[in-house]
Amino acid sequence: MVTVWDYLPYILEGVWWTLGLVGGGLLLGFAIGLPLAVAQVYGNRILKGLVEVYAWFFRSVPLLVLLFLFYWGIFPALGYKLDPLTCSILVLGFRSGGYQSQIFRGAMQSISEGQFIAARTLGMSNSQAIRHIILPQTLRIAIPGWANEYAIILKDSAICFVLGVMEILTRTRYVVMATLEPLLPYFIAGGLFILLTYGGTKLVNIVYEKTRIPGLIGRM
Amino acid sequence: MSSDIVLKVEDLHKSYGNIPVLKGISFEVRRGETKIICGPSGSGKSTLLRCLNLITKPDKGRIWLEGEEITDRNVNINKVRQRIGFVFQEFNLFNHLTALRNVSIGLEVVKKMDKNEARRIALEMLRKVGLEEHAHKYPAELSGGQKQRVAIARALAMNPAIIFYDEPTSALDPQLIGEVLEVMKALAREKVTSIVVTHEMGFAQSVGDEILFMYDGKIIEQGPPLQIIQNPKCEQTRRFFQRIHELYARENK
Amino acid sequence: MSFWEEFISYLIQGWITTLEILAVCIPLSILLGLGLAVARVYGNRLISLIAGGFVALLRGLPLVVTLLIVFFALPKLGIFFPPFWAAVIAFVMCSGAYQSEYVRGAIRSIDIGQSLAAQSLGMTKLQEVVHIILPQAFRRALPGITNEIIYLILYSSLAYLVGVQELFAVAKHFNSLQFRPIEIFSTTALIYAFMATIATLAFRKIEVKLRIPGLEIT
Repeated sequence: MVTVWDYLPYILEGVWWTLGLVGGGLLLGFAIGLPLAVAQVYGNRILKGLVEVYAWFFRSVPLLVLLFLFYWGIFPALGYKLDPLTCSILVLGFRSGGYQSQIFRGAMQSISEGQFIAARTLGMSNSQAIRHIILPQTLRIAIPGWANEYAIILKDSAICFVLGVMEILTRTRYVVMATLEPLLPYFIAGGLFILLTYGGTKLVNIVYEKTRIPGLIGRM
Repeated sequence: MSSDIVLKVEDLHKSYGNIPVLKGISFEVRRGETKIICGPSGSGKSTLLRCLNLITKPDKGRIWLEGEEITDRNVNINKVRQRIGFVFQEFNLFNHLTALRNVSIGLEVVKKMDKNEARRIALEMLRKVGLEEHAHKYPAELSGGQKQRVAIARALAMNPAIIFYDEPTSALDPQLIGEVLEVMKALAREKVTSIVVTHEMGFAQSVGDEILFMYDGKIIEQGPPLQIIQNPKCEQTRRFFQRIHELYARENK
Repeated sequence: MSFWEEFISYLIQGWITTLEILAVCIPLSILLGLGLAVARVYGNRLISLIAGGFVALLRGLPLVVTLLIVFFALPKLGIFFPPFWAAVIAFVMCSGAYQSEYVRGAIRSIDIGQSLAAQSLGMTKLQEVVHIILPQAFRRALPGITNEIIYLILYSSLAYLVGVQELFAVAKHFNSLQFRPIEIFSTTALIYAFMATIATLAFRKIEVKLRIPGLEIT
């Protein structure tokens, strides 16, 4: 007789897909969020307004709705027929960009304005001051917030099962259907997510300790 | 214009909204000179310094640095600022960089200097302010006086034509003021051209070449330190120094 | 009936269900958050351990997994919930666990002198917690709680997975009839954004109303 345990490798394979969703979403979110934060802190009024609208939208709409809106609506309308994985990564990334912009903005605003002025008095241009003085501090201060974002996006990635991405939860549901045994598969999936949540957070904290600089305290 | 005039200011005006802060400031600084600016708070001293390196845009008036008009629209302001050192009341060290890198970053980023060369100069500057052995500490690991000395080294490293000090000892605990003033005095004796906004009258008397006394956005009296402090002509100046004198007398008790 | 008329009448039904879910979940999750925080800080070792374990578990699990376990797996153990209540239970447990973290942090941030003063007046521990500690801690935790309530509003859409006919479920159903995803899902998106924004403003109002000098967030 086939038991749930026979399906374990099948579920475990989903970890790679889950990590793909998380890694892709986090990186895209970083690539979007950091420039947005710079624009929000140092940009003109129009730029600030645009960033605010972007962050507001992606932080005020459920991921579920975004996934359906982009997968069935926006991407096809733009002429892209994306596979579920790519679409999910893009949506997770757009959304995380909204959240990450707020993490980086908070970090940036916690850096004293005097340092920026001091950089300018040395003859640095605006962009040199941002690049050499503001950003290195921002990134370190933002690490705890970033660890938090990892945990959030990891847990949200499970929602991508609605598009059929072959991540942990999708596979778990297939196993439930095949074995008609819901308890164990869901517990396995839950255990995997807990492991990934706390393991990943721990890892980021190690990086944080390694890059620690006296006087630069990170904030959630 | 004579070549030994480093900085020349003519009829400088600045308002915030409709509140005038600078109402026509004119003066010159000669090479090697240490100019002291003092006056009651709100008289426009800090605004003046910030206008002089265009961190704050003056509304009207002209400024020349070594003969070049820097208020000219076509001047590259970042190039100009390299030639003006600035020391802040609140130090404003870069918190993510060691003392050494704080001093070298301007050379690397702005002057595009080779890293090793920048490092060599930075070490030399730190030695000059007596902090060579603290080169690898981060700002959070330094005392206020040490931070300010690093800030002075940072300004000095750029080899500026002039250094502005904006109340460099006002944020320091009394027992830390001395070490910073010693560094500043040594530099003044080396004939490093500077403008110092300060209420340290001992410092002004020992190395200042001239005091400009500001009141309500104008320079109302100027002259040699001894004369201004002990025998001022204006009523406001007299009252100001009397107040300072009383303050110090009380502290020394 | 035109597309929009029909769509709106659908949406309103779903929206009402969503509001029902929230009306139950918001107060219950706040209570659970306070309860868990108190249990962790003031409970004996066993209670504190249980509460702490519960919070760690719920914060480590994706809400969607919690929800599926409550609805699909627990019946195997003889525990049945109708869809609406399965969703409510999952949402309240999850949000309560997250909220408790803010409340716990806030309780910890309150000066020990407050506790000593309460004891010196002869208050019991319960009186001290209810009358002195929690009123202060709640105010400090409020911005964090607000955030969690916003999340709760957004994640309430997951209830569709267990068959609750809430806002997203009716939108999805309507889309399967009409297939006009851009109009349907962007309208749905804006309704959620509207609720989240209203909730943000409302909680900010509450924060201002409850504000006491010296109890600001530091």
